[in-house]
Amino acid sequence: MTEEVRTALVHYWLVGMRGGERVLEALCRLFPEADVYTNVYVPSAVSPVINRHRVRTTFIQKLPFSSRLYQAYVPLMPAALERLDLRGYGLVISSESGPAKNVIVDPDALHLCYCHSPMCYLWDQASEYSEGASFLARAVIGSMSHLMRLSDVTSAARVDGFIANSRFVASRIRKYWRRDAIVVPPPVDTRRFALNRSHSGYYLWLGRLVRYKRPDIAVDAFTKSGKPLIIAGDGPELRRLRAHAGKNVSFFGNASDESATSLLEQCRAFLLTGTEDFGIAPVEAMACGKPVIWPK
Amino acid sequence: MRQARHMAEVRTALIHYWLTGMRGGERVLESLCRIYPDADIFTNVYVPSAVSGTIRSHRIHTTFIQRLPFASRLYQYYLPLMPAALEHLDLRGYKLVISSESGPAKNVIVDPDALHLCYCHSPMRYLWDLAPEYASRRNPFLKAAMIPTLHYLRLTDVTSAARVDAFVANSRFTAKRIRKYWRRDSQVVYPPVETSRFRVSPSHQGYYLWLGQLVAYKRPDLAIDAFRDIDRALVVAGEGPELGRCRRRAGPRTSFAGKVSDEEAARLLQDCRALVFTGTEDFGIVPVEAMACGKPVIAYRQGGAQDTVKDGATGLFFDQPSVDSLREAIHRFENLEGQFSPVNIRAWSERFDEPRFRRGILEIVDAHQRKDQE
Repeated sequence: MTEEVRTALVHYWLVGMRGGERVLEALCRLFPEADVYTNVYVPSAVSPVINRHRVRTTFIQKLPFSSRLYQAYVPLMPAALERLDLRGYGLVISSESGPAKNVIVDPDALHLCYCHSPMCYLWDQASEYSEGASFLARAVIGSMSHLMRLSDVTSAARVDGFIANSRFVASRIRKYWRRDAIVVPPPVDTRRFALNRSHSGYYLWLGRLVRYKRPDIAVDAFTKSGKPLIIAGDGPELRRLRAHAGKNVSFFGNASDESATSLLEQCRAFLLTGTEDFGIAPVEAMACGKPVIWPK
Repeated sequence: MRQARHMAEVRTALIHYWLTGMRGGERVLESLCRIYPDADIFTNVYVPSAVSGTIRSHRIHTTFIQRLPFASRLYQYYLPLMPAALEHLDLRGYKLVISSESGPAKNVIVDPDALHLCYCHSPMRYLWDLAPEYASRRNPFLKAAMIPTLHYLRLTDVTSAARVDAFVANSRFTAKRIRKYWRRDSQVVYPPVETSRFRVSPSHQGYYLWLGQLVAYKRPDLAIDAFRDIDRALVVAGEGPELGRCRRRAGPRTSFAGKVSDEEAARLLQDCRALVFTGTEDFGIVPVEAMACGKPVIAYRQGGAQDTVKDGATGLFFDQPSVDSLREAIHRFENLEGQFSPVNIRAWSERFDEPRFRRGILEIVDAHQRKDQE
């Protein structure tokens, strides 16, 4: 089938290698002949597996400083994606957690949307994102978000089949777009990790230090209990967390893939405090044979 | 008759995008007018002299678009205002509303008790699958202005689909597009073709015929290129922006008939050897008219032709939009030519006539009204 059918993969933006781009990589391996479409493309920031494909961009790429300021251009992306010419593609897979599914495909084409998450800053976490912003900023964000929601919902009609990365995302797709989805978890490279039956005594929290991931819950709990905790990751919350943390809590900073692996392999248990759409780190911890403590 | 009683009781409104000429969409509206002779018509722009007596005999209301400067000529520039203008219409009291859409029409707001049927000729092609084609030939300033405008029109196009109780598509291809872009189901009722205007002609004058507007998406270039190096006569009838380009690439046995009247078109169809149909139409009336003359159709296997042409019996398909694929089909046709029976082809064409359209519409309306009463 893949030989006959021209395939397009549509990804929101290619400016780094995070969870969404790992899924895109896996799609690239599934469809090695596929063309990739995206709003902004920074070749040096993505992996060779993706760079090997023919990558085309929307007009967002041509706007000033798009590779750094692409998030300011998010409100233009739905219209930009609609302008892509996807005639001739028999299979289109949009990979969405930023705008992607807005593309217009041939009447005969199959359009699947792999949804990492309906954009959380438009829906369930909208209030968190505008918290602390000035009145003016809130007014601008509010009206832009309103427009974005209109295009986010109407473009859901263009998708033939939704694939959610978890049951949680499937329920959010249902809640905000009123569409069914089947669940296919994203690929986690479990072979990178070795099973370790012993540990070095510490608990591990790993991730970006942003509010919605709730590192504060872990820091507060362990400061009280006095048990050893390692917080691995960087982010805007770092300074506030340090101020509250007891001596038993240490901050590792940003961990490379290798150091994250050894931290996972040596920990006693892994802590997950925030709500993730899928959450790759807990699966990686389990790949090391480590239990995960998480909020139900 | 139950149906007749319904018609007498139920106030009906027909919504048509604009009434500025008599093309395929307006022919369908005419038939709807004959089914519902007491219906009122609502439209964005009305040019009485440009439409038929059948339509004119109805009470016709317009949206505020009609009052804008030069609306009768520049109405297409006002397209972005039409969704809102239609929402402004007061349709209270109408129990049956049929919108006829290929420009904005279904955006109207009807009573909670009213039945709103949308006969869809085509989800606007310049908004959807043919958007890149329309976008490519604009100047940069217009192009930039088009981006937010088209985006906005798509928003209203999709959200207004929720207002329609039942969609009727003019072909399976249109039904597929309704599903693809609006995510709604529809029933297919083919538009009425006036087959009685045509007579079966068992003989021909040796030429193949291409008939239609010379615009890029109808692919006249494909027919012209395919006939350039084969020793067969091709008549290209119609005019349009592609005429110059078509003439330049034409072979010695290709001739151009220019714009033809209804009568001339009928004569050209009756005297041709076969119709060559290269474009992708939502329905496509011309192939049915050719078949009404008993003529086989060589068609690209895409769009409405897949419904109207019966493979091997009333014509042949080619699978790729390429010169080679078309030439192969012409070759195949000439080998099989004897098996095409003009009388049978004509008989097939009659399944696209007006009585069948009327029955199809009335059945759907009746079924929905009965369901609502339950």
